[in-house]
Amino acid sequence: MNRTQLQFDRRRMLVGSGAAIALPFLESLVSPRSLIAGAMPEEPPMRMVCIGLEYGLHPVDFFPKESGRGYQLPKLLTPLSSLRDDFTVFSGLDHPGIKGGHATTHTFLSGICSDQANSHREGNITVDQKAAEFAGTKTRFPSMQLGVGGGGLSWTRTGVGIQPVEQLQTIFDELFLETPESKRKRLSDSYRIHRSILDVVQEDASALEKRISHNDLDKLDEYFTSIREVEKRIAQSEAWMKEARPKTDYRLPEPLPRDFYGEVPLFYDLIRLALQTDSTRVLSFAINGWRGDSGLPGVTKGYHDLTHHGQDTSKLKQLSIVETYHTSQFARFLESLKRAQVSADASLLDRTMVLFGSGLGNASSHSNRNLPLVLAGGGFQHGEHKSFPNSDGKQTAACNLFVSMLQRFGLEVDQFGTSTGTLEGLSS
Amino acid sequence: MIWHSLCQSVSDYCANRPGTLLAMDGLRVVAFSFCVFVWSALASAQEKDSEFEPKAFVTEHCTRCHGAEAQKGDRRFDVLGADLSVEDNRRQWQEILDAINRGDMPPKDEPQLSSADTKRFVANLTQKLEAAYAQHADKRKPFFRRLNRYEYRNTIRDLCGVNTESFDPTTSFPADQRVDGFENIGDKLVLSDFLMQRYLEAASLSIEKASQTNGADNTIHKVFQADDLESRKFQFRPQIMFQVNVDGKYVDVGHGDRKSDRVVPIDFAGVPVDGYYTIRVKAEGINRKHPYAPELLGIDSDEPIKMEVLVADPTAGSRLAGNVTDRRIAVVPLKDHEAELYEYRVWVDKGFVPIVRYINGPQPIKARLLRLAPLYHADVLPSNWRSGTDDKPAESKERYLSDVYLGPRMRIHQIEIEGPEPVPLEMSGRAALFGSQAAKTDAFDSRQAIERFLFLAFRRPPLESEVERFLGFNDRRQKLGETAETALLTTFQAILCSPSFVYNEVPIGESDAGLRQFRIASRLSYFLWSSMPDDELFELASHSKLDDPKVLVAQVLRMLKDPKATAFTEHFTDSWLHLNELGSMPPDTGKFKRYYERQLQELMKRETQSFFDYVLSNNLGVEHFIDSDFTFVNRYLAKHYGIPGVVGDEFRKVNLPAGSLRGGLLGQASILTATSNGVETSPVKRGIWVLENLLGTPPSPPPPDVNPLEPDIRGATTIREQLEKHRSVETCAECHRKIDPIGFAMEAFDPIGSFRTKYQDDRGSDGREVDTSGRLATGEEFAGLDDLKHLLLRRKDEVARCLTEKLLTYAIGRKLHQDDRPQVDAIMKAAAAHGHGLRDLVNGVVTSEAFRE
Repeated sequence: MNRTQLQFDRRRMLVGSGAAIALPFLESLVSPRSLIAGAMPEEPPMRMVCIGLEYGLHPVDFFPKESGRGYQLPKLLTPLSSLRDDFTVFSGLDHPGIKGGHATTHTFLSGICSDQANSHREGNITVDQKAAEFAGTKTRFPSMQLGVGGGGLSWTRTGVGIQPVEQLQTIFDELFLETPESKRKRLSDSYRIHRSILDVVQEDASALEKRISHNDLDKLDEYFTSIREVEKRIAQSEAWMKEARPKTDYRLPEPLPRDFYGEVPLFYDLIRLALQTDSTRVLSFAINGWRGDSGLPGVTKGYHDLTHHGQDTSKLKQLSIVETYHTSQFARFLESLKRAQVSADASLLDRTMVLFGSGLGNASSHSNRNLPLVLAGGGFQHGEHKSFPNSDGKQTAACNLFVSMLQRFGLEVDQFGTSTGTLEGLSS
Repeated sequence: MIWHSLCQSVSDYCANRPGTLLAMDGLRVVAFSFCVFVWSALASAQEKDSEFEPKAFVTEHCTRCHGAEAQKGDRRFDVLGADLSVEDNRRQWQEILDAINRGDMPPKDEPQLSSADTKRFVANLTQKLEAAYAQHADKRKPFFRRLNRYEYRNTIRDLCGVNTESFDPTTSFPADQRVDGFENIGDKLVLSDFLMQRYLEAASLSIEKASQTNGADNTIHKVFQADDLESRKFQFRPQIMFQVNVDGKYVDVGHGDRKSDRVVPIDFAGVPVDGYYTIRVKAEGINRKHPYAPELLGIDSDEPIKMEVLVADPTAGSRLAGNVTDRRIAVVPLKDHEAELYEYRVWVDKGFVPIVRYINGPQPIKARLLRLAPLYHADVLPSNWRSGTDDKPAESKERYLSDVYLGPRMRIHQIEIEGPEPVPLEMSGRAALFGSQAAKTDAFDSRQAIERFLFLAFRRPPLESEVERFLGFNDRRQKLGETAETALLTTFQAILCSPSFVYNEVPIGESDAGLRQFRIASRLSYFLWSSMPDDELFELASHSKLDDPKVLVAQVLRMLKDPKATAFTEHFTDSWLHLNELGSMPPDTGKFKRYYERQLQELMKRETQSFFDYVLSNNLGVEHFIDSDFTFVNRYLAKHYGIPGVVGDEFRKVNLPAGSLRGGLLGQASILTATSNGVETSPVKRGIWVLENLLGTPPSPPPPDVNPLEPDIRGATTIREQLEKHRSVETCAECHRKIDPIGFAMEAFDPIGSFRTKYQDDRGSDGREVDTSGRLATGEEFAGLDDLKHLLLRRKDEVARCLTEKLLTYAIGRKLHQDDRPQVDAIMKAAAAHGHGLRDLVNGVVTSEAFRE
């Protein structure tokens, strides 16, 4: 098929898919009664939230001593005691072959180092982005990336690290602020111009393709693929621009907190709102260190410095305050999801799988082994500490957990990253 | 404490293991090469093995440690094939030859070789390898390389004639992948849909910026008096942020807080259009000498009171406390009690405002005044405000701190801004877009304009079909209702998204000598300017002059004198020395306050860049990077280094006193900070840095079965003892005997490069003595860094080779292959005649075949 023909088909297809984009499903506005009254209500959609900590969690305080149900909650999981049956804690999972401490923490959601992305079929795509590709244009945002303290969690299949949004106000505005008419006009003009530019540069690239002197066309393929993807995005943006944004009574405090302590819970609030209004079904939230004052009572030293504790008791004490803060905020977030109903028999938590953990197993020794991982919600059977003992030198790939998550999310995949299968014993 | 870093470094290194250049990826492919060998052995090479003389030598002298029984250093030669048509065999044989030539092998405690045997082996193997390289030289392929962020920005500056001092079309581009510090390696520079979307936006922003005009009706002249700069009520509460307008005559600023208010015109919406403006500030320094105890204010009263003048876009973030658009115009020492008018002619972007702050004022002011007031001014309250958000005082008091305060202040009488200057049309962005003739007359021929812009944007003459394509686009835009000018601007936007613009290396035109010339022009300009060629380079290319080595060398000299060459110094030192890692593991804010107070990071980089510039422009030998009797500092860096007698903010060359450890790169704080993790130093990380970036002999990555040790400061073990234990494991010892000693010598410096003789604990108290002595793997002992540098000077050829490889990699934008080896040799050989001068190496790079291929 020649390119002109392809292009013609592509254009038609885009118009078609643009029209087929679903309206946002505003669950908060739909009462359970109307759902029951409707003819065969569809099952509420599945969501995925991935939360990553830059510096891991102190292993002694995080991993339970006993396996199975009825394990004793370790110090850092105590804040989750009322949610015991809503989450699973794992031990013995990590990314085989990954070493390098901080330099490889970014493999958390992919299992693959960014500089090795080229040698993998799907690059170092992260589990959230894989899910986002599947969720596609059903929501206003295929996915959202949020972060505090610099650095993100999500990588695309082309090996690009996505910069997270760090300003609370920006996130809130993206979710709820209606685009003014003048800006809509400007946007739709620029969409039209961009589409015509993409057409002409694609012709240009096709002509170039015929002139290049060897068969290595990978780079030009990157170019063509990018063009096609941008065209899809433009179509999606145009369709969504016509839809009103959801309304909310929620207000960010004024002035906004300027420290870590004040900010983290507000991020969680916005994540919950994004899910509740079905603005997106996939989110990642990167929690890194802080510069300057953390605002945490009892903490006088830097987060990174504290992870270099060398077993010093006063440092460990402060580190414990920081880490307990993280698990407490996580618990508060899960509770808020649990309180939100999406149908007569399901809470938002039942329909949202939340992964909480880190690409760093032990910050003090800069080890990437035995990652701290918790999976909550998403309709899985929870309540256990699932331990994967390191038998005859073979570790269990954390990517096996990601395969199970993706399957639950609706993808028909049996492989992801460095997985060797699904995660044994995790059922839904 | 510091030995925590051991483990981090081992693990950091593992993941980050920068591939080496020529000895590239060797260790990763050992298993692979083994298979290759088996295959090639079956095919043909088995008979040849016995005839291959060097093989017998290696079997006799090397395979006891590098054979079936043991594979020290992860090397095994009993199965190494003699078939030099296999690239990996060439690589391994070259490595053996290098190790023998350097005298690294055999180790000193093993039986030594006879010199006759060695000579014969070296001569024979050298000749065989040369022949093999010659055979495979033509296998190099041209490739795609897209512009990286800084190249894109500079190219837009030169192509569209826009000022990029504040404007940056690439702020939302994703970060480029780094390979061993380099951000311009073609096959790692991916193009994603995310980036393509940014290209569309950046093209539109850039063309819009370039095409705007500044007519005479946009001229402004604003004079801001005290009341335009600060409201009067603030006089009563200087303790929050000391910025006071008492009587409308001036504004006194008593604080140097970075995140607190600066002096900014309150109701000024910013300049109406882009252009050159004149900013005038009338200011003086007040009470530099004051009666308070010096430690209360924490500033040096011998230093003049200094004013920083900035421009910024107040809508991009906080108007008062600073945001990402802040751009420093000047830092000026003020006269004491003598107001003077300071004038600056600067480029100001539309919507930007002038701002001033007291850059070396006391901070944090609130804490300092709360301590000071009760001691010296017991009769006044620091404030009679209930809170910082109240808008009037709770009660009236006779005297406020602002009335009686005798501390240092910056006094601003007025700020003025005037402009923009009229821009001659032929110098405007419109001239860059339409051509200077067309810009003047405002009448343009679309075909001509498109042809011209295509030539510049593609950095080569456009094909007729390309002109037609974009002309067709231009026509369609007009039919859709755009004016001739708007259509042309949209067409330019499209051109900026074409693959021929975004890729500065495209594998076409091997057979076309003319295109090859333009490719050389581009390579030259992206090498030394990180931007597109200028008219002279285009001119030379169109006359096919760029194959002449004399012309190339003359161009290097000309181009290095151009201000655009700062891009080379900045980005090459970033890449080679990994200075672009500064800031990724920032020093702990509690432990290293002065790093932030004096913004040392910026100064550290400046030192290294000035030093590199000096070596380059004077064509000094590469040994200066190992040791030198000079460096570049200003007052703050001199203080950090303990060099006396340096006043002033400007960087200047200083001669280092005898015995100073700061000569060469190893004593520079930039490198010492970049090789630390912000909390502790790591001898391992620093040792590896030297092996990789100075000596070009990177160690193998740690074997997979080594577990990092978890630090425990409750015991009393030093980093040396820890590493000693580590070295007792045989697999670790091979590499760590090379890594650790170098790192020990550099333990004389803390994580931000301050000299130390004792380690400090978390509370800042002195702990154990620092021991900087060691013994190199080759047997030489040293007492400290000074000694070590002398030993390294003997290996200056290795440094020259390493630097040559780094330069060539940066210049051609790809990792080197094994078969680039003869190119590197040739560059080195030519430069050796004059003692491996840095500029000779640069000349060697641009005249090499690899560069002109």
